[in-house]
Amino acid sequence: MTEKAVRPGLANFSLDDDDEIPIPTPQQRQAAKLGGERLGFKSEPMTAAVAVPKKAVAAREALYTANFHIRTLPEDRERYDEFAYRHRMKKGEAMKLLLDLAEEAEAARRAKGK
Amino acid sequence: MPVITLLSPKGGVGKTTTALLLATELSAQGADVILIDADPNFPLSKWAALPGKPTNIEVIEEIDEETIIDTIGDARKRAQYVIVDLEGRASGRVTNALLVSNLALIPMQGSALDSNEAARAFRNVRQVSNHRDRPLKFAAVLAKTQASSRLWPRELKQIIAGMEEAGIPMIGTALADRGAFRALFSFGGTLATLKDKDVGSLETARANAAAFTLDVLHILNEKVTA
Repeated sequence: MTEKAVRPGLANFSLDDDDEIPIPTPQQRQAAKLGGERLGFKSEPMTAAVAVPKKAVAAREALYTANFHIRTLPEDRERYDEFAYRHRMKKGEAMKLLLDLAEEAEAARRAKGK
Repeated sequence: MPVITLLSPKGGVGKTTTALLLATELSAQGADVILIDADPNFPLSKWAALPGKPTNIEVIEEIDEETIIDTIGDARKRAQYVIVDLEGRASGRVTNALLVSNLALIPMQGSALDSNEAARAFRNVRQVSNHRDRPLKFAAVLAKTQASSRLWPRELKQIIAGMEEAGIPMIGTALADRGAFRALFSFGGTLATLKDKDVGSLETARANAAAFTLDVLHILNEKVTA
């Protein structure tokens, strides 16, 4: 960091050059980097280092919003729950399907009766 | 001028508090200090934005792995001490900072998790040291401990014994978990500018920080052999 006194008899007024750490060569940097990576000290691009604010996700709009109670047979309740679970359906979706099928059957009966 | 780097792959062990205490103690002794805030959350910059920052402390934000070596190199030309506070994770930034440091300090608390992560940090320090022209000095720092060593848990004492056995140097003075140290980040300034009405046991905290800084300077001035 500082020049040493040229003549041995002269006092050295330079600062302590023990503090000097040489700039690492590209080879030293690469070797240290590889050694560090083996210990899990991984290089990361700047984009990863800086926390990127996440894009706000729009709130999902609720579809089955009407709520009502039905008095039914316990076994029918069980069948209904089990059906919705088996098809991984929302309860509202299962209800819609039941009504669609019922109306389809009704229409088929009506057509047959004509 | 000397570069002191604080590292640990684990967060919350006391790196930033240790960095700030060192910087403020050294500045109180009249030294120009540059604090390099290499934590993407920039806790030291936030401290610097509070009132009371000594004029001889400069805080620089640097989180780029590629440029941190140059930033440290520039800082050491301008200040008597450069203190680098790295984030609590294992990254290439840590390795690069170590390549140009005079002393690596690894704060840890008395838990198995902390000591495991500290062990990983020591291994990285040693491997970086092997790739440098000059060996890198390093030491463990016991941070956030109980103020009285008589109250230290058995686990911490075992960790200390393990480090002694492994030949890992340790800073003699532990930094206790003190309200005054935490208060620096809410009030700003230094331990010297905090008021007794704001925080308790201030004198003890000041004595703790001063003794710790003296120990760090002592290890910094020790001669090392390759």
